Amino acid sequence: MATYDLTDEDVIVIVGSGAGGGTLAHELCEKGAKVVLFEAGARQSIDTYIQEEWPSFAQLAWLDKRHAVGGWRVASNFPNLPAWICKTVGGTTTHWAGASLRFQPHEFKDLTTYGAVDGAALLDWPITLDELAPFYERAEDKLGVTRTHGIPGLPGNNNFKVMYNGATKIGYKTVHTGRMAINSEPRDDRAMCQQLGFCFQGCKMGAKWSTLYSEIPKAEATGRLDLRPESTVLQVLHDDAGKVTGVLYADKDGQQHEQKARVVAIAGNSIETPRLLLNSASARFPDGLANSSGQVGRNYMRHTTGSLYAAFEQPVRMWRGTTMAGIIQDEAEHRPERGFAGGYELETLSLGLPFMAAFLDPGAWGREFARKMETYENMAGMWIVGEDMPQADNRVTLHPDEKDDFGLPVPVVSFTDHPNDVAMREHAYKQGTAVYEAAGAKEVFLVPPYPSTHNLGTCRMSGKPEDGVCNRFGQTHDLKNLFISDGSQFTTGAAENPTLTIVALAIRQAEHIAEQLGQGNI
Amino acid sequence: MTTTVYRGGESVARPRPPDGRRSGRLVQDRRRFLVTSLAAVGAYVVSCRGSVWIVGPGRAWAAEMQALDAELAETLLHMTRALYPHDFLGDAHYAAVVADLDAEAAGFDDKEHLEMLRSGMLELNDAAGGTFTSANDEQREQALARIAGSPFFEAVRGKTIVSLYNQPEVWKQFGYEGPSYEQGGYLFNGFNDLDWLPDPPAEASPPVQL
Repeated sequence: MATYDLTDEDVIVIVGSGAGGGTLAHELCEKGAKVVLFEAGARQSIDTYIQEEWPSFAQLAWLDKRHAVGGWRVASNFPNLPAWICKTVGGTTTHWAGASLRFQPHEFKDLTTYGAVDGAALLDWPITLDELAPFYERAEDKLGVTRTHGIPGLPGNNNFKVMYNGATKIGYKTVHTGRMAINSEPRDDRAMCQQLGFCFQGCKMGAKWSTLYSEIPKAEATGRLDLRPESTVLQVLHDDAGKVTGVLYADKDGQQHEQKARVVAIAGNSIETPRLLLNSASARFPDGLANSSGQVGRNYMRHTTGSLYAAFEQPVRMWRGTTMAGIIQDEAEHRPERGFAGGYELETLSLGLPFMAAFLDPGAWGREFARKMETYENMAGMWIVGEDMPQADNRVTLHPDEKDDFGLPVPVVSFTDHPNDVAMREHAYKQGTAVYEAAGAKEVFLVPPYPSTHNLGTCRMSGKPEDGVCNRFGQTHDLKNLFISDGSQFTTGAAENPTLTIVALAIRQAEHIAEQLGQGNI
Repeated sequence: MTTTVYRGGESVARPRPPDGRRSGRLVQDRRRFLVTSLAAVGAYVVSCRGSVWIVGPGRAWAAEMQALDAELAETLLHMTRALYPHDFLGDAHYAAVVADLDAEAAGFDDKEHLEMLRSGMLELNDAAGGTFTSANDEQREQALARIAGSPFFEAVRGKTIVSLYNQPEVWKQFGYEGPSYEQGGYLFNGFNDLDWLPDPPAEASPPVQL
């Protein structure tokens, strides 16, 4: 573990230690770079993780003040919790379920494939699947993704048995236990999955990949990582020439410092990343850093989601074993005859009794709700994750008056479904219901989207500086030594869970940064 | 035989697929039956020399209030059950919710929160056309519907939905087993023991790697 001076102008500062920031830190340390990795949250471990939903939520979740507004139901049921993401070393890789899918080729070319969609700010990515494929290979190897690199698939649990039987009965063909960054056998100094059933609460086996106990210790072992937990970056600083010079941050005691840097990479997830850029506005950049396009904070995407829980006559006990225990991929393709653009995955999901009460029908009460809860032991569950349309006015902005403890405006997350999102969700509810009916369900509960776990697109990549924030390497168009390193850079969201793509982009970005540093370009 | 699909609380009956096999009724768990019998006895609230207690049947348990008076504690005990009524849960679990509401009210420096609860209770009594505690189940549900959405209602409902379903003893009544790490996980504790459907083939669900 290194300690760098605040005045050291050679360090690379990375903001956020999750899938993007944690991976980038490790990759750069391996290449010999000096890295200061800032994390707003505290460092936990597999020993301190808690297998209870509310206490774990208090330990890991990002609970700083935020506002959810707009047409989505989250705005009324969870007005201060637009997203269910983490503030802890390892970021949301502590909480993710492990699904690791590559994008499909057309999902890098939405505008070309779907054509213009009314009200949607569609663009093609400035990269293709072919360009990203070698980095997907490396990401799958790094994460230890099952069904890749000769790694066996995970055994399916009871929840998957129900999904499999229903799905195959109605004719679905691609149904299996998924490509998961969860060890089906010991690998890379991580243990094998013991089907604990608390993937969302931090894996106490360490069987699920997380930067907390993979990338970060490996980066520390190089002797080049200076990890600063409980340290919140408040502003990115720049000089008169429009070059980034470092960051202003508050340490765990609230003391503010300036850390000099040669390069700054931001990976604070898609709410905090644009917020930091907007909060870094200066005389030279009055609309916020890297915002000459006006796109910072815009095109906020969260995947078209929703869940189905079905009650059967006999016990399922879906909580036993991995949370995302299996997948149906037959609806993932783009087939416009279904009445919408893009596709969706269906993945098993399970909640413990405490969170089932909170999420089954948020705000509901009374005897009928209580009766539904009483079917809990006999429930199976699945989650819809599909591509949503980027919309310019779905966006992260700064609150006009409300400030956080550091005196900085709190974020406002505004989201309303696009008609395409609604049509896709309706289709998925119908198909999911058919799956469970075919398996013998007595009742099916259609559950509205939870607070967002996949937050994307708020600093999007584009070939053209006028309609995007960063270029094909996540480098901002406006400031050469400022990078976006998380899901914020996604041009469009695709149907797949985003982590594998975030990691692949981070590996690729590390190569680009090293090359640019070597050539003296940044 | 139909599968019922619910959206936002509303149900829509749908025809069952042609091979709707499983008929018959849900098996009533024996332990639930026993608890249901006990719950009928009911807890009560006593006030003695300035202290307020919720006391369980047969004085099996008691919870002392720090901030709530007897009338408010009793109303909240009945209100939390009416919000999330599970016949197989004893009053001890609803009393635990009231204890959390009491601790929250006691945690404020001023009396504003406590007064909000008190005035909310009066509003609830009005809505019940007398007192909420003396109303029958149907009247209670109607009274709650009348005040739904008020700050008092949401404060109590929001606390109840978290506190009631967060009790390990409540989990057992629902069949939920909770934390598994100390037992070595569910790998050898039934993660794939469902036997009323056929097992998926190995290519879909590979065997455990041992």
